[in-house]
Amino acid sequence: MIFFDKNETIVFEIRKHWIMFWGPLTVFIIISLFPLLVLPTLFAPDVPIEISALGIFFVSIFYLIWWIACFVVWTNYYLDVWVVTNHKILSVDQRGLFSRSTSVLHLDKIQDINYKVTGVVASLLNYGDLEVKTAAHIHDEGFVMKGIPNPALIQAKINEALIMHRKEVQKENIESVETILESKDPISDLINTKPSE
Amino acid sequence: MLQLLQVDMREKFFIYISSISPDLLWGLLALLLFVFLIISFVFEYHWNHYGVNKNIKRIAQTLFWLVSIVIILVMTIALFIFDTKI
Repeated sequence: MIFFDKNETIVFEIRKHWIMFWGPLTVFIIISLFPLLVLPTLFAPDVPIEISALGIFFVSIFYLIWWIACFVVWTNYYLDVWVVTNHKILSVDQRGLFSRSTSVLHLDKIQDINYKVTGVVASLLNYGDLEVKTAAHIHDEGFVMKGIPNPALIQAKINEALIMHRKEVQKENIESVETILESKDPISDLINTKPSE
Repeated sequence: MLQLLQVDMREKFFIYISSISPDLLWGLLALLLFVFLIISFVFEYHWNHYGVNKNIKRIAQTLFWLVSIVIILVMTIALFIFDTKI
């Protein structure tokens, strides 16, 4: 379950480029054509109706399994996501139906956002890897999402969310300072105030 | 000669296929439905607990159930025809 703070709103979601699923997609499309080779034989005029019915029964089993398999692949794709909110980036790495890992990166911890587009196909289809680094990960791999569409735009959007967040934090800090200054005993108020993150 | 052999083999295949017990197939259908329901529950759980976009979730749920029900319906009708004609 994904939990959000009270005043937290989703800015956008990032999912992998459709080309990342080209492999399974192609295999699934080819597999789905197999029963079509049997269907004309099943409906031949000299084939008894019970044989045709039985054939359709087995073809239906095949398509039900195929349909479920398609949704397993799609669910893995759909749940493998980066959710950018006005406070944080939530990275959900879905490896299988029963294997997932989630990491949270607060926007104020971000030091650097960069992307890589490598290869002819990636350049033509405009997809690449986006990396978000914190101070702790400045020398190694930070938050990486591989094969995302339009990485330049996503980079700009995260930057925008970061600027908005910083403005919000600044505004909150100014408001708290003003409240302290307006109070009767600012010095003791200042001492009692917990520093914001 | 080859054609005759092919026809004979085909006849034998039809007789062999017709000898499958409908009860066994109904059992297979019941087992499939059971497995399907478990998998659907897993899907629903994942979409509802981990999914973020409600619209996509709704479209996926509708599509999954609609197509699955059609396939199961076709499967049941086909088995019913096989059972009554045999």
